[in-house]
Amino acid sequence: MDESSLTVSLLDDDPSVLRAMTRLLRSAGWMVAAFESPPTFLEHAATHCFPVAVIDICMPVMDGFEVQTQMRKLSPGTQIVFLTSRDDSSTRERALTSGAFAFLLKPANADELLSIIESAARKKG
Amino acid sequence: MTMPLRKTRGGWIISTLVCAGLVLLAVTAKAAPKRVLIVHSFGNAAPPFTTHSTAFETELAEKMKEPVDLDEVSLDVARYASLDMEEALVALMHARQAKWQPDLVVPIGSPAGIFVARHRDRLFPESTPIVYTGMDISRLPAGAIERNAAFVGESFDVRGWVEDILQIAPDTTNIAVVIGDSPLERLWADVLKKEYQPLAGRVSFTWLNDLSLEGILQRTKNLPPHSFILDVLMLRDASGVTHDGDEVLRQIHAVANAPINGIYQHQLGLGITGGRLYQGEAEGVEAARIAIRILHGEPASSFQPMIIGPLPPRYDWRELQKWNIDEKLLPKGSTILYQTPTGWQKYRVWIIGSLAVILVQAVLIGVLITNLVRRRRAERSLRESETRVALATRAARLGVWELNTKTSEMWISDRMRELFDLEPGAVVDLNTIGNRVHPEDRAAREAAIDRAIHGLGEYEIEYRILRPDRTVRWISGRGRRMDDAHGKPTRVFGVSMDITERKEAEELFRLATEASPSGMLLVEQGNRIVLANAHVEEMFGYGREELIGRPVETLVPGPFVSGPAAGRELMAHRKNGSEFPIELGLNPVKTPGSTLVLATVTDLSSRKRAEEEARRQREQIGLLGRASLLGEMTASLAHELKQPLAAIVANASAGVRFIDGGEIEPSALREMFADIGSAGRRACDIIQSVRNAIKKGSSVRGQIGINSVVTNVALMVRPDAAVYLCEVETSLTENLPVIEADPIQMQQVLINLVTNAFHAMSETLVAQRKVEIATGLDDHGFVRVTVRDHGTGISEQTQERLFEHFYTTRMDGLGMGLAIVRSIIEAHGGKITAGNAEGGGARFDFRLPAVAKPRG
Repeated sequence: MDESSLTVSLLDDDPSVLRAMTRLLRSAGWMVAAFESPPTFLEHAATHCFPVAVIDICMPVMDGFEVQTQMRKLSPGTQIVFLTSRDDSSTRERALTSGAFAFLLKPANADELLSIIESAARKKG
Repeated sequence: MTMPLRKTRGGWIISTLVCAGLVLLAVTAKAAPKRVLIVHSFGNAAPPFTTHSTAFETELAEKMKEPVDLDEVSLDVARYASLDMEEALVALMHARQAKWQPDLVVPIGSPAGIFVARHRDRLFPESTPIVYTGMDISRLPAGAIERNAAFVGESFDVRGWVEDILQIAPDTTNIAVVIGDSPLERLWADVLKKEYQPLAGRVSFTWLNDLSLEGILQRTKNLPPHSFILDVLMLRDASGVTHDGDEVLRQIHAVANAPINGIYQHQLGLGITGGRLYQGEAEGVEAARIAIRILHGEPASSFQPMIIGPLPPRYDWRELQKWNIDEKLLPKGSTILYQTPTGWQKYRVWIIGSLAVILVQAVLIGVLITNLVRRRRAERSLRESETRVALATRAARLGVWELNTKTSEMWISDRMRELFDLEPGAVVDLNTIGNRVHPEDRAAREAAIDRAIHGLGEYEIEYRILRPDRTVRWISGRGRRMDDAHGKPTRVFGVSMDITERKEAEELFRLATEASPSGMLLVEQGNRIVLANAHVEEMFGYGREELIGRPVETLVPGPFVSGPAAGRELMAHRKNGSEFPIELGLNPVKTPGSTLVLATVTDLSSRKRAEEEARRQREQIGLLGRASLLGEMTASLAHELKQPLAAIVANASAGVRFIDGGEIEPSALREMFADIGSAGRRACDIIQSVRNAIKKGSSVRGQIGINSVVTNVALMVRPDAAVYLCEVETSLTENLPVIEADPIQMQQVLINLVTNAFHAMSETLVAQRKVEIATGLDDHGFVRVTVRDHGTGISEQTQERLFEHFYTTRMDGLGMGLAIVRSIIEAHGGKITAGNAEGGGARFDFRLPAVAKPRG
């Protein structure tokens, strides 16, 4: 398993959430690339390979679905896990029909989140 | 001293001491004329005695039906008072008795009276009667009246002079007494000082008798506050210069910093305030009447001493005004003369030109009248005077008339006939003129003339006349009554002037003033109001009559200075004591006579109220903003709270894992706990802000009319409309049924829709940026409100999701607005739809169920 295969990318516009998630993933042994803004995230995705991306949906400038659309072109093998506090049926439906690996609501259960990430990493596109 | 004598008509005139002799002699007279010798105290031009002597001579000349040989001698004691001179004069007069034996001797003034009484034995035989006049009876030596003599004079109430002053100026603390330094004046000064001694506690006295006229003027210029000047007598000042007392009064009046009162009636009009004034003229006339009867053979001893008291109090209005003397302080029954009547006052600025003309004419007439009355010489015939009056009045285009109150005979000038359209040469009387007067004004005019005849002595009135050709002309009439010595009216002298053009101009001016949308005030230099229009009456609660003549400070505080025309905001006082904001515009108006200030007064109360209302509404919009926040917060509370909760949970889980793994640095752990702490606080803040929002907004439903909500909102969004350069147009259907709704939430809905509309038109040409709000009733009996804009419209894709939470086409929007709008409408049992309007732009339509029964 090379280094990139042990890396999870995080995208959340809330820095405190981003820091906490980084710690959680590291505590489980993951390498973390954390991003607050979708464009920076996409730039990184264009040049790096990573199996899983945990993405917030409700963000300014560009929402999670749009990032997912871009990711399909940039890195089709990366599994997308949506992690959002936006709890309505239409969002959930849309997330799940969009081809995302998982749709999780904040605050997510840590064990559940980590196991989903692990499954996603194993699935590898 | 030589005394050149000149013989004339059997009498001697002593040219240096005696005034020129006067012979009133009819050429055809057969009997020897009666000889009357007047003994002056101070020459024949020394007020106040001039009044006595002039009246005496005039009355004598007019009433004596036969020739009188009148001679005069003057002691001129003001100049030459000394015993030597007296002796010389006695000798001279004794000598002339041989040539010119008088039938009657008339000493005028107390020095002459004392001189005649003292030297009676040497001067005149006991058979020569004497009429003492023009003096205080207490001055005459005891027993003088018993020796074939009559007396017509006064008995001065010298304390009354001070009382009169204190009556009208109760705060007076100092009285400056103007009195000269001749022996007579010294004597009077001593009498006054003694008499005024008891008043020392009440008022102090400044005696000016030891000053030259220059010194007196200097002192009266700089008197302390609460001073009054009492002008008693000024024959000769302390530097030995002889003066004309009336002229001195004029000079003092010109410079004095305090009001002046005098003693004699003739001083009224020369600058004294007035009071109970003595009647020199009446004394002279009465003395002449007694003289005539004595000359006709009645014994002098048959006449009781006649004391002529002062007139009832009379005042000069101009002086009262000048010194701010309240008319309320005047004693009951006072007469106020020289008053400018209200009618003239009202529109002074407009009539100032014509008034000036009229005043000049009035003065002219006054002079002519005075000439008629004071005519000293009988050689001036009435016809000549009439000719002069006619010449003067023709020039001024004044109609003149004279009424004999005894015979009711009337003379009118040609111009008067012209004015009233009367046949030339036709005999006229008061009725002829009265019949020309407009029926509505007839009574007022007759009453004014009647009052003049039986009371006031003068009148002034404006009235209309109706000429035979049915044209109406406005006439200004003034008149004055002439009295005989008994105060009985003999004649009324009147002038009439056509003032139609002025009246028409006044009317135009009045209409213009009344039509002015602002209150208008005209204020003269002394800050007194001379004009006020109906708006001012309405604004301040005063009647116009109350305002005219009042200081403008009654209405507006502070100095009323004419500055730049720019408006000033001030607080003004209503009659009821309340204050209100006004905007004051001041413009100086220059007239030939003075500068007036034209003030426009705008009541700002309604503007302020509107501003207050707008402010209140803006606050309410703020409140709505919070209410709107509440809606947004309620809907997105979970979203907001889940962010920090997610951070807390993730951090805690990570921490547990790190500890379990035994590989955590205390510093890293510390960071995590710090993050957990701050995330927890953030969650608290969110909850607190929701609580705050909830406090501000609570839904209260009532039965409301949607039209009033729309009207309010149209007002509320006006500032935003201005920012977005949009127009808001409402089209309301009348008599809509009421709805059961929370008015604040309804406003919120509309504000939201209208604000969205503004945003939607950012790409629209400014000229087309219009939001139309319409109300109506749909087929199902629902109240319908449509908000339509002229923006880009709604795309098909957007339309589906428009009312979804978080759906926004705006970068800065949260996307909650329309979701809330929908939830509010739905909560009210209504429905909202969106679509594109015909001709472009979006159209939002909401319907709300009407309340079955209309309110009330």
